[in-house]
Amino acid sequence: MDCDRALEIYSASLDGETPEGLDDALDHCASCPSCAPEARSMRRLAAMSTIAAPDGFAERVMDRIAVETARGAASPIEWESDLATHAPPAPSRRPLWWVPRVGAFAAAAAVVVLAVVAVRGDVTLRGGRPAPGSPVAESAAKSDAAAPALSAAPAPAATLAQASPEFAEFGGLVYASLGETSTNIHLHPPRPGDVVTSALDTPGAPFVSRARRVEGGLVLFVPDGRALAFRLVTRARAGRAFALRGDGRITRFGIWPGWPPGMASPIDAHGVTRLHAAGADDAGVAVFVPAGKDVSAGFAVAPGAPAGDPIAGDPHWTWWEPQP
Amino acid sequence: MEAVGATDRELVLAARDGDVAAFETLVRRHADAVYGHALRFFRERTAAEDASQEVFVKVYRSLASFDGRSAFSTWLFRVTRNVCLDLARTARRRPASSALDSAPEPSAPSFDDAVATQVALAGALAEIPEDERAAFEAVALFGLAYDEAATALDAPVGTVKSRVFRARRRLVAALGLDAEGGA
Repeated sequence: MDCDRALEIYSASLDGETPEGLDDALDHCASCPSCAPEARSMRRLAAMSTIAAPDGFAERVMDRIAVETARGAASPIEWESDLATHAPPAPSRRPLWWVPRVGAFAAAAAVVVLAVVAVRGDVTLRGGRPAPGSPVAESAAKSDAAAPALSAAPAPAATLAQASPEFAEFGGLVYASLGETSTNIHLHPPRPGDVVTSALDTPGAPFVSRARRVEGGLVLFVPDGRALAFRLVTRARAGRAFALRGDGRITRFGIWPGWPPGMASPIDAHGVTRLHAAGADDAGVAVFVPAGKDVSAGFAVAPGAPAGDPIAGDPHWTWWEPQP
Repeated sequence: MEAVGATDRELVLAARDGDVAAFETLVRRHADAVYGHALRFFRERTAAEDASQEVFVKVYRSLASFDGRSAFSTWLFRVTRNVCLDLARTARRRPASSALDSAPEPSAPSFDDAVATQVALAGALAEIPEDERAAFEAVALFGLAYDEAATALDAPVGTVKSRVFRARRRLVAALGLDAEGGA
């Protein structure tokens, strides 16, 4: 038998095949002074080609699946059409008015809030920085004590449902966009302190904008005269409201809140949660707490909250803190 | 169901019906192949474990999409490759350099001999032609049959067989296994 042919058959036998001519090939490889060493080397290569998964690997996989199944993120009935890529992002649910203006709005609104950050220190939307040296004045947000109710100018119901997940972070908490709202709400007239200047200003013509907390929400006034409403993102447990803590990394509208900085990661190096199940909120979504902690002090919610949840679609763990 | 003696296909069907033990049997049956691929891809144990877990979670989530037209192992091989590439692409994990000399020394504290062997093998694999590497990974390392690998790689069975053979010869030479007393 030809040496190359014998070695090819021998190679196939190492892969579990029983090709035609195998017996002849084995005889050849055992006796041929050229092929015998190569066949021996192939066996050694085969021997070094296997490695066992670490001890406990299967248990860790099943633990992770159990956690994800408990929170509804992993289920064998979920259908995924393309394993070659990550799940596609959810279809945009922005209201139509958002589309042509999103770039300008995002930049403008971010700058508005950023300007407030510089003054108040408790507003944490981070989307860039005002131009160095830009004068930043006080915002109407300082008059929280007299905050009017957001319900004074509600956005249309359809908009409320469609605006998520356009988030802003304010005072360490997360607000979800309600879309454009009426400017006819009971705010005090602009005062000198309400003027905010930013890098968007044209020379000599600073625009006037305000950010204002209202009951359960926030209103931003953007340079083109529109008012944009945001509501505090909350969930209820045992009838008590818990607000979504921001991660300080919302860099633009349209990204999801994540895990707050300064708190131990909810997932260890093996992908296993460090948190303990603590029942469910009033909507039946599983909640988790760190070891030794009580749920009344706040709780975590796993990624993949079900449809209808305030953060449905958020791929991150989130932390919810009790509201007064 | 009696999971241990069941075929992969039977286990998949049982898992789709909620039989968690059936899925765990699949995990145990294929853990070494998936972990080995991830370890050779990332050349680091923690990353390999993370990626391997991700593979099986992804498979579990997607069981309903497994239509049985190809073998489960073929599907698993595709998922494993894609998860590793996706993790690297999204910078959640960085793939290892292709240069053999960049691999940590086998004596490094975090590398036991088995891991070092896989790192050496991964380095040698990186130096052979892509089509041969893919065929060798699918057949000799992941354990696919030639026809399964042909499906996974969209190549004729005979071509896969030839590529595996050529890859094997190149690897023997690259790793010094052809020398008496070689590694």
